[in-house]
Amino acid sequence: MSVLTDERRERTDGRPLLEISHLQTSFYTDKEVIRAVDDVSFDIHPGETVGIVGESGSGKSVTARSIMGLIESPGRIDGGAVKFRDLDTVRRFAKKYDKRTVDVTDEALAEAKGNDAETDADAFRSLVSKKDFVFVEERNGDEITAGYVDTTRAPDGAMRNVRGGGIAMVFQDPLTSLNPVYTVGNQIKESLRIHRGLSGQAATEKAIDLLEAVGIPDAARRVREYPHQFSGGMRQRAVIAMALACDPELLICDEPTTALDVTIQAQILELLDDIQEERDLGIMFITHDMGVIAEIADRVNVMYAGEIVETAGAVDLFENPRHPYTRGLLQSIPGTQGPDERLRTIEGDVPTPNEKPTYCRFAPRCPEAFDACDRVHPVPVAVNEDAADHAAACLLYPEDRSREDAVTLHDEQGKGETDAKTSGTTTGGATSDGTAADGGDTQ
Amino acid sequence: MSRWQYFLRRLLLSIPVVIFGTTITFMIIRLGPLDPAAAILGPGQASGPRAEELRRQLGLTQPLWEQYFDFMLDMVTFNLGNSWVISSGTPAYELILIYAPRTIWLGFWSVLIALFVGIPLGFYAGLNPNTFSDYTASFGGIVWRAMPNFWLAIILVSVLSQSEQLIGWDWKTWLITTPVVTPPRLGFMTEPLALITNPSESWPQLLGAIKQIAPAAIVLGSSSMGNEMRIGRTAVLETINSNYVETAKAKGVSNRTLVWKHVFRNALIPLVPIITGEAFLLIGGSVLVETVFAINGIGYLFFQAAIQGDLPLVGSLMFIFILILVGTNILQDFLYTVIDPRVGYDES
Repeated sequence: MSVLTDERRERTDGRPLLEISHLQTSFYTDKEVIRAVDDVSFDIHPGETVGIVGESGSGKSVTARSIMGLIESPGRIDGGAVKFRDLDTVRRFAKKYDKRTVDVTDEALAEAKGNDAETDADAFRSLVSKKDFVFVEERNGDEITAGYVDTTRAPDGAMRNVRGGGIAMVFQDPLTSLNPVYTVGNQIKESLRIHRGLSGQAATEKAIDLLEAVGIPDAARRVREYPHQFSGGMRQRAVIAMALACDPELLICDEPTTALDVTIQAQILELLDDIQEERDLGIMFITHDMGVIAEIADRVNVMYAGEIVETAGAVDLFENPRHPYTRGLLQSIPGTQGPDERLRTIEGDVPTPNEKPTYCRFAPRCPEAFDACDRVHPVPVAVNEDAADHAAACLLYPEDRSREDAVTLHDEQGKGETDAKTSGTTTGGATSDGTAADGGDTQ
Repeated sequence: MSRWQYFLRRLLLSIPVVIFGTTITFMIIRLGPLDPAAAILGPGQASGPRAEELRRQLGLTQPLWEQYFDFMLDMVTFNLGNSWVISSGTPAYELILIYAPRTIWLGFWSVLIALFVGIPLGFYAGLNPNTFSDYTASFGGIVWRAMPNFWLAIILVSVLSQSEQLIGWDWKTWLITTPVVTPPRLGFMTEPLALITNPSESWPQLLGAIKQIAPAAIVLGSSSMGNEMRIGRTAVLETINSNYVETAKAKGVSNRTLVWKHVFRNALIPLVPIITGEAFLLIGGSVLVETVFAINGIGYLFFQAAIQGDLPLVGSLMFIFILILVGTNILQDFLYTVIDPRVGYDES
């Protein structure tokens, strides 16, 4: 196992497996534009489980679907990048889509800089044309040694290859996520055929292996059965087997245990844990259940109204929640109160994020809100100088600064970021809005 | 219980249904107000020695239970008896053989039109929801659905009969000369081999029969077509937004496979009872259309037999209708069994 781990680590070279930077997904309805995912950034490393928690409507599932390229009209990804750094995928795509592959190696950037570009970001923009989606960052001779595929820019054909092959997804409701008119085996084999070209007896055997791997007894018989002959927990196991069929690097679980009862839930979590250890999968785990997150996640991102409001290691987050929203969530878990105390709740509902934030979206429900919360939009900052790994988007932080200083910091950083975005110079550079492409398009 | 055991059970259960239906038929025609003697002898002669004699000859004076057993035995052995009134002395079987093919021909084409126009249109609209083509198809479907059979039939007959004066294009002589009304000639049905051995004569006949039945079939199929379109659209929309379609997408399934494998089969499930239900409708609904187009079909024959008190003919036709209905039900169960593996699934 450790050999495999090292190999995988080497393949991403210490870089995250998935890097989401400034992702922005909106839904354009007749009435309003809903910014379901509003400037979200986080990383997932190989073998790491990243939890996303938040209430319903906070944008968790839309984030997952944006990564998978499953956003459909009237939804649209407006900006940001989702960088998938699986080297195999990058190499394969660089070969297949060589016209849409671009070198953004240090040398290439330096050369562009030498020409006319002033900053790194300008240089990046001058290299990348509108259609590019495979980015090569390092080459060793002819071999690509580092790079990424931006799934927000990838064409549908390439995305189909990534879906299931590189990134797999397990959905919330196992009772409805299998097609009722085909056998479980048929649906697992479909994956195997698409991504590995397996068919016939070989595919059936592989499907049986997969079902056994997820703990379904008598798999050889079960593979020929229909979903309605499986129990809820079994179906979720089958869905997981289907997701694992093509050995993905990243597994996105969208509330995979919400529809299951507690004992089955524990079994599924254990199964995911085992699978992760075995295959060194990166897992993105979406849930609104703090208990589940505590059990499975290495790192937790708390989402509220389309934004990540707090991010920290799981232990740190549960011991020292900093954002008032996270505290509210933790206090509303039954069993954390005294015997005569009523269960605490967060008053109100998640607002619909339908405009550019110039204030804190949680302020109306926040017990600690003060004047500035209504006019300054908080940006994620480290909660104090010692905790580089624990950030909160709240005007109360950094806690080692005075409140005025903190507010000024948020104000400036927020403005700086807006400026940077409007002029198209995000650090990642790979914004998918038209401006980024101008440099590369001129002949 | 496996799905095939389930199907077998449905098949066996249809036997009591046929017996029950035939019994009810017997009760209605024998205990109802129909008096065959009066019908044969003419108005005002329902009593008197001649009527009594006739009743005795027809076997109407025997005990009712005896008549019932005779009737049932005759029906299940397909001994359909002779017509009394409509065409006195002619075996009912022969009459049905003359009239039924016209109705079958009409029904066949109207079901076909509904199937092959309605369902594809509905599926197309469902796959492209809220686009201009969806609105066009949906609106057309509603309009088509809303036009009453008899009205559409009359308009069509009227327009086609004088198409030359109205639009300068003569329907009657187009492709092959046919009249607008009157039954199509279906001689080729008795000798299907002639289509191969004697193509020069039989093919024009087939073409003529199709052309002649087309307006009636369009009218009869129109409401079913609108129905199937609307329900097909809803079924596709429902399926395409279901979780398993999203799961399949997340697996990397191509759009074509998604539509043909995952959407199509599931969307067909709610359509099965609609399609077979329309087959029922074609038996009853055809009488009106047959009358307008002067296609003397089985509906016309039944109507005539019923108002004239031709008991053996009414009984035989009812029996055949029952068989057709039960048959379509079995077909529906069969389609269900093939399409949906959940059929016959017992939780216990």
